Amino acid sequence: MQWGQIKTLFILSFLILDLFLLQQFLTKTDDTELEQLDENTSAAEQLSLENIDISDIPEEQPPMAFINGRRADFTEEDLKALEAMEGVDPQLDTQNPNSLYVKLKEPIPIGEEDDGEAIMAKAEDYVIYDDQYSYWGKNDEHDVILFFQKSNNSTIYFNESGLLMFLVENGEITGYYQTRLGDIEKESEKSELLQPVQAVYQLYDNGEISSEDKITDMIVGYHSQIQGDSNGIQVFAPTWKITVNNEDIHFVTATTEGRVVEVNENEFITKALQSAGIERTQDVNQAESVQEPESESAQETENNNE
Amino acid sequence: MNFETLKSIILFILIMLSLFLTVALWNYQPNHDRVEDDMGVNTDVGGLEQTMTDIIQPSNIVFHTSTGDYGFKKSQDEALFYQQMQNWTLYNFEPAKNGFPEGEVMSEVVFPTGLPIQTLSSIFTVSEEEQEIGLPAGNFKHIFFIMDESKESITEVRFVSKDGENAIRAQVQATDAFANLISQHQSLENKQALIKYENKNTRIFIPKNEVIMTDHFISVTPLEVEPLLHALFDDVSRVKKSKRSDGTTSFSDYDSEMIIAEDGKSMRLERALFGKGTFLNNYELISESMAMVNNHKGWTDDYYLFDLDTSNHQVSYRMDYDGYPVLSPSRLSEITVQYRQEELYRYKRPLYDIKKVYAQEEDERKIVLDSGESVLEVLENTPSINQEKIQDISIGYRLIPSNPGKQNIFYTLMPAWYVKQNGKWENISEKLETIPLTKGADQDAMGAN
Repeated sequence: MQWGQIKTLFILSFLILDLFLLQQFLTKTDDTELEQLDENTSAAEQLSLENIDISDIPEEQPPMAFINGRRADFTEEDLKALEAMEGVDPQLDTQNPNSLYVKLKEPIPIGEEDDGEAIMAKAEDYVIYDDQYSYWGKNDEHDVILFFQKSNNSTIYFNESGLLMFLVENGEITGYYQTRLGDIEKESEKSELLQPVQAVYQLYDNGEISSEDKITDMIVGYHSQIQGDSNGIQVFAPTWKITVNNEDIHFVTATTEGRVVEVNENEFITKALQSAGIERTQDVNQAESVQEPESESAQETENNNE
Repeated sequence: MNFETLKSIILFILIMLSLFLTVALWNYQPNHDRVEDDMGVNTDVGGLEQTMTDIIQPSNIVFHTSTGDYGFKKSQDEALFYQQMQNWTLYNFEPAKNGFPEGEVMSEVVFPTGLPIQTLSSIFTVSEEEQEIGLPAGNFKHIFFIMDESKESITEVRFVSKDGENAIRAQVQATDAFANLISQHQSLENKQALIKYENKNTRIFIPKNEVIMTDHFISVTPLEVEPLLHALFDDVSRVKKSKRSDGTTSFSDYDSEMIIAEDGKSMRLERALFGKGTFLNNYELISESMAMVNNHKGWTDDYYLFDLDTSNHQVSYRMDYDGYPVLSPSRLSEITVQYRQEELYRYKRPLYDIKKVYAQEEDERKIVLDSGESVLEVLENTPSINQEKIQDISIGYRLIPSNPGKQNIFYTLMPAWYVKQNGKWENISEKLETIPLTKGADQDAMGAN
């Protein structure tokens, strides 16, 4: 055979080989993209099999950065601003200026139907940084109204260092307890978030929701499981807040592994009241019930320092 | 340019393209877990990886002879003999009637804690058929090799739980097993007499007569924290460091916090609990915790499995020096791993590595420890000690810093008698009041096990 003919043959065979390789490569790239879509579809299928209504959940969530911050001290200016307000009696522990306990000289009556906006409208003249907190809800067991601090419009859920807690007595706000996170920093790199369907699936997988449930609201905020020392830096992970049937609220970390976070509102309030040093007659029972884990952790620290 | 040259060029391009595509196909990795699989990250804290065979060591080997109970004088001899035993093949497992065998000529291997029966295949050789059938359920702390001298054979191997309530028997298949055991029974010059202490929870053998030991001067080097952070946190770039009001240092992200003691010699990691799950069984507790520590090569000195607390889902590994456990303070001598459901909950460990023996052997002082007999007598006559609550009695070392209250690199390992009650090891040398060297030393606050 001629060299020229051999070359033609080679060109043909390599052409075929290249086409084959190219096709292989493209399928491989597609596969991985499809994988994620697949995961979403199968989770959605599973949920629809159980008749869990997910029609109201957001479709897709763009990447979001983790944030970190530490509890801020209330400064002289803060106090001046407070003192300039009429009708407040601020009590700041100078040893521990990172929490604020304010008594109102004139209690503010609130109505049964008042929502967060209405409550804040009535109370805003007595609160500093009032626009940095968003409404969480009323707790009748402890007679408090909870507001959580926001960062870039995302709420930092259940953090003792970013809390505005109104104390209610006989339907009137008599005072409040406030802590604030300062120096909130955003991580430079954004993280892929767990997609909404997957987050709901995690709830289902953990047995937190069952058939016929409806997801009525779903929004991303921040949460930290580690609250540590009151002056340490805390890291907050993007966290899904998922409302089921307009009543049950669940949290699922929006990190890629997506894990269900257990939050106990009553325990949280009891702890906050304790660290604020606020004693209320109706809390005596609860305070006793949390005594045990408290003393255990105290012992822990002791052990570490032996 | 003629047609042939053009063909050559096309051919060349095609070959290159095929090479390129092949390489691309091989190297294409989906970019899912970008951080965790980062191979360049150093998670090696500088220790070793261990297997279950290494980590499970007996606390005692007792030879029950017609003239009394004996044990090895030197721990090295004991370790050597135990190594021989590990080659013996066990078969024919079946449940047996409970209780400790008495009055027979037998050898007893005692472990520091009750072990799940599955660990047997790591300790001894268990025949493959036997493993396929599956071993009978249970746990054991004592292994008895019961011998019949007239038949020159080991009639039975019996595994008995801590309280004697659970027993399993098996046969041993090894040509030299009987000869080995009986020769140990007969050559008593490297042995010492032992005395038995028994209550309803435990069965202990301690040296009957005075024990001559030495103290040791050691220097330690701190472990690097960085590799540990990489091993224990998902994404180290996210971890924040802060000083706590009690002087400790905290590293935390959103679900884990690692606290390093003020002197930097120990740490405690705690993780938040997510969701629900089943609990690990005892065997999984050992294997999971070992894998976790192996993962960052965390066996920085000699550590042995020491305590398995089923109700708290907790495993402890104790530091060992020269054949004796270091029993206090716990935070400097114990690796503790606790699980909550299937997940790591707490991990406590010392953060140092014994670097070298600081002094020459001749500088070490001879320490004479009380006889076991007098220890038992003192325990009996000490009102603060409830006989029924005694879980263990042992000789162990206490780590004494050369410079109390300061950053230390020099320590003394001081031998002493210890008693374990309510899960805590207590130095009883003050109760014995015969060891002048530790006199006036501060009461040792021991951590919970």
